[in-house]
Amino acid sequence: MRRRPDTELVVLAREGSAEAAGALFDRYWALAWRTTYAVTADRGLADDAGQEAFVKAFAALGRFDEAQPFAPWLKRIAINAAVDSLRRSRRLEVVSDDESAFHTWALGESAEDDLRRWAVADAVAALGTGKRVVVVLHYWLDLPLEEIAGVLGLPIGTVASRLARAKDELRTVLEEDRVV
Amino acid sequence: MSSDFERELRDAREALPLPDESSTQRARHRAIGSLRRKRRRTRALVVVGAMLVSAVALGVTAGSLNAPSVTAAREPAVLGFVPEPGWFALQSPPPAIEGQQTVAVAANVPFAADDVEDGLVEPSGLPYSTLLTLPPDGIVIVSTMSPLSLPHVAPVPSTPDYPSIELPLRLRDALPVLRWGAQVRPDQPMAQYHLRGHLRGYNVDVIAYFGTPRPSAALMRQAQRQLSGFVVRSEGVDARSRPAAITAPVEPLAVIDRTFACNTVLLGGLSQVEVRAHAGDRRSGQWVKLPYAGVSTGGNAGRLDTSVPPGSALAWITAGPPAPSTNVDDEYDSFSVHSGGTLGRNTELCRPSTARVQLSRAGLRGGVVPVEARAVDCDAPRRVLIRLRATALGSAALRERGRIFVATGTPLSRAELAVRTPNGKLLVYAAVDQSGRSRQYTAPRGCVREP
Repeated sequence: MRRRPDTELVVLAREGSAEAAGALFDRYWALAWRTTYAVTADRGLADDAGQEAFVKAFAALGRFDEAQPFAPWLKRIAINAAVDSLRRSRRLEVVSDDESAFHTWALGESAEDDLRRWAVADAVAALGTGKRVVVVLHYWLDLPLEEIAGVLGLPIGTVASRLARAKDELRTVLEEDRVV
Repeated sequence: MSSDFERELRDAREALPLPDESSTQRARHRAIGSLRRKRRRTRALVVVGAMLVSAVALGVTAGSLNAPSVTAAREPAVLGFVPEPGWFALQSPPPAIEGQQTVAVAANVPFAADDVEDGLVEPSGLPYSTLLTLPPDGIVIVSTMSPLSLPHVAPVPSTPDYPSIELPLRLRDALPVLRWGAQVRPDQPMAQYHLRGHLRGYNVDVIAYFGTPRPSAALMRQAQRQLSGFVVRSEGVDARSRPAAITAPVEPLAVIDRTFACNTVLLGGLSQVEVRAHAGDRRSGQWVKLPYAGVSTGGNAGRLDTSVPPGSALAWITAGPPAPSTNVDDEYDSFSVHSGGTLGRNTELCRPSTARVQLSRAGLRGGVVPVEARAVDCDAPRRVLIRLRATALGSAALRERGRIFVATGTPLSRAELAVRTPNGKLLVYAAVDQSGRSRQYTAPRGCVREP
């Protein structure tokens, strides 16, 4: 069966086609969820924020510029939803126990590369929330510093210095563990 | 150096996990539903706009067109379903007034958008749209719980219609009739089973709807599995005997779902995990032993502190409310649930992981275990993944217990445990239930039952 281009699905979904909306969801849910998980480091928050991102994206399909690719647009919505969710959860002081830290382990963890990635991801996880979010937005979600400043509502100098401190901290930890 | 380091940092994104199936289904359902709702709202706005124009023309005030709205609060509810894999569960908002009914519904199909309001079951409590489109292999279970009486209201006399029942609820106790109901879908009749009883101070009505008039045995078993996941948040108390309990604050239901990467310890040159499980033992209404399953590694020689599990324990689960003297496990491995915790894990050998571990007994051997602990040793690599999933009747936070454990003391209504290798081989699955039952399954190869 022909794989329908994103633009065609967007047009159909905008007209109310549940099938087209479903196809867009199936194509990009993993991207949206991994984005929200990278920012929130919490499965529960990532589930909610990923879902919210799609609801918002579908609600805003009328404003989507079909000349642009769909994935980066959705990713940006997902980043905003995740950052909002993180802010909300902190403001509401959601009680989390000592195990809500962000750790990950790739499925093919027997390979040397995967173990190293796990160690790096673990080290990223161990950073404080402020530093971790900046690292994740820059290195995992490819946002330039200016955009990170916009998303987080911080001066660009603060973002740059936070990123530099985070990298120093990561380098020290990973060198000690002989990962890099 | 810097570019290498930055490349390592970027590559680490590959380690991010994927969403699980249930959250994917929920999100899909809601996202696509939002599109439908938006279209309906647009249509409604057109209609309301037209009505407004007409109303103004007729001299009718717009105020009369205001519709009531419902705001669902995020408070804990009295009862609920812990969804089985592939099932969806919803609860009604918490009672706005004392004595109001609480409703919980579960379905093996996604709920129709009309039946969900802000993540809760639609206020009528009947997922009508879902029922109207229920496929032949679809099941919907609706459970209504009404307080038997309130402290300031005269007790309602109990009747033979509501005999005393216990958890887990059993479909075989239900009647294939509806005393007060009718066929929801007369043109495509559904089998409807009604179970009623008096449970912990509440009158409970459970109706199971099947998308076919003659459900197969497999479908009935599926419904029973979900019915076993029906939980009541508090130790329910009959209002007539202990009226304060109805108004006392009660803890919310919480689901604990954690996965850990645990190192195994060599013993006699072998790297193994041991899974031990036993059924519960209740005497005079009190648990002497809770149903239990635990995974350990290496030996436990030199055990100093018997108030917590042996140092070889990696993780454990129980179900049911422990008394101060309730223990789990046998003899040398025994520990007090009160001091050790109802569910916990080793912090020295295990660390949190986001790897996916299926809670499944597919391909494993085993079954229900007796009250005496059954131990099975399984060959394992130097690291295993352990997932614990449980429904806690209260806070799910794990706190330090002893030197090397974190655990919760909150009673659990049901808990599951699975162990797999990093390469994906499932080694162990165990499940315990507050009814006292405990099940244990292990891999057919590489696992040996201890004599």
